[in-house]
Amino acid sequence: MTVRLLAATGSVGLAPTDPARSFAPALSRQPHAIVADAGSADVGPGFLGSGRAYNNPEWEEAELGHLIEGASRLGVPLIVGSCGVHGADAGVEAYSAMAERAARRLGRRLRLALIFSEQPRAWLQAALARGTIESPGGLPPLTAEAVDASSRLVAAMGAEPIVAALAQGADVVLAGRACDDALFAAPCLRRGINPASSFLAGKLLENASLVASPFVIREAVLAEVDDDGVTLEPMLADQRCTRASVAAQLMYERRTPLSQPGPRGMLELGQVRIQELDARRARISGASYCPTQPTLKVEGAGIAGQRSVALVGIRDPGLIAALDTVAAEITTEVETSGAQVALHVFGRDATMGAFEPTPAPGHEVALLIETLAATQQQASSACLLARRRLFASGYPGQKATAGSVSGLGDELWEAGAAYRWTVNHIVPVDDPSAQFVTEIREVGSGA
Amino acid sequence: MKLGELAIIVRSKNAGIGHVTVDVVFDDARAYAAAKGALDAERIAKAYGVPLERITDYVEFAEGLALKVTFRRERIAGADGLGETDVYGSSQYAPMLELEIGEGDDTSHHA
Repeated sequence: MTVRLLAATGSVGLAPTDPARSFAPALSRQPHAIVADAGSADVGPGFLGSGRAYNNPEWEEAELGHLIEGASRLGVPLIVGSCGVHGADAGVEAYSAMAERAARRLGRRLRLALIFSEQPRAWLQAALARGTIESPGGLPPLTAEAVDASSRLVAAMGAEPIVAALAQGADVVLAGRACDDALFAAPCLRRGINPASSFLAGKLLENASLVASPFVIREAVLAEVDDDGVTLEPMLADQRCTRASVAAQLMYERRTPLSQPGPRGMLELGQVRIQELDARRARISGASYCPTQPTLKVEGAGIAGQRSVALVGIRDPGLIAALDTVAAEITTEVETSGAQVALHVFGRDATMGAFEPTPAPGHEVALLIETLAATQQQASSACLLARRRLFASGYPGQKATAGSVSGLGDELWEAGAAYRWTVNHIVPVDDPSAQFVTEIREVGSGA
Repeated sequence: MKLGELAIIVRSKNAGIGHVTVDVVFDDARAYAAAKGALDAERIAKAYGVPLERITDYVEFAEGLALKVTFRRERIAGADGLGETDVYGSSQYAPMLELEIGEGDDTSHHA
């Protein structure tokens, strides 16, 4: 038995796309299911915390429309996960509205399955009361305060809720926060492929054309999945799946390429084999799957304060040389006012921060002033104070008496609420499916 | 030869909110063997100017002809709302490019 999966894009709506490039050719290969991930926690805590849209909704609607049109033409299911990037309920609802408009436009009747993954704080508090909850890295063990400080919580679903939605005859599955690989594993598991190959396919396909070479994001890749492994073929004419490109995908965004945990088990890749079959295709095999105690990864974000930003340029070698001293004085004064301040020196170490091994400034630098306070007014006042002090700063050997920084103007950027990760933890559960509510909606009309 | 010339992929990205991981991939078994022989976690920590404890994982991925090193972030991604320098962790690989690898010299750096 072989399942043909189409990974349509690595990120729905990230930028405008042209479906003629790789999606249309892929449809002619008659995939059994079309899958696309829309989410990531990499974008930072602000989108989950606020629930706001990450992409331009017009780009999302256009791309989702192409996906729905293609799936509906072939009569195969479409699975989209982590709707709206964060997978919060607002993202699922926004995608549902887009899907409904697409159904009307196409004159089709579609069965949508919306799978919601937002979680009540009370549920997480109850889980915390049962025992210690650890973070896979970055945060201390979960506290009741961290749960309370969360504006929004989502749990990442595994494959089961998606398999169940497919069993209910869903034409389009719109999942909230989901494990990327589970989106692809679900249609394989539904058709009886073993978990090792199903999750291996997910691992390989979750970023679509990133598994191929040369580097092109968001183009389609076709996979043939059977119980022994996965055969990959990029659908963009110029791309190839090579040993190196596949290896890179297995390493992507994780600490090790040799294993990948999920809600119900671990994909083990210690014996993985990557073979180049011909000029374009690669065969990946040797994965195994070990069931584990069920868990859910839960993400939460909360408000850190209000933020303001200003940018100035510095060309005076004397001020550049004295920048750390000047910055320390300004930081002290701003912090005394009750705000926090970060000064980013572009042209020296703004990209890597304390991680920069060669923090040598260029002949000019840009200083980005970032302030955080309880109110926007306080943040802006602190940011203005830092900017005015810099403009009139004194330093050894100073010749300039008309100001030593440049700017596009004297305005600030009021950046609004800043968020922080409050929860990024692995929660032991009895049933990893129980936290996800599925709602079936029949939309559109016609065939 | 420098690692940036020898490898075909050198990149970084977050691995969860608490780590940044660097991937180095080769398309040639000799290049992989040379880099594998020349590099270890200690040398990479030194190139970044960080203590060895910051490196949480160092993986030799033989089937992929690839090396992977993961650092604990000094602050989690987003940095609690102020002072983040690279929210994706995608620009933390440059010090790797300059690492000198004795190409084909399999004896000089073996422990």
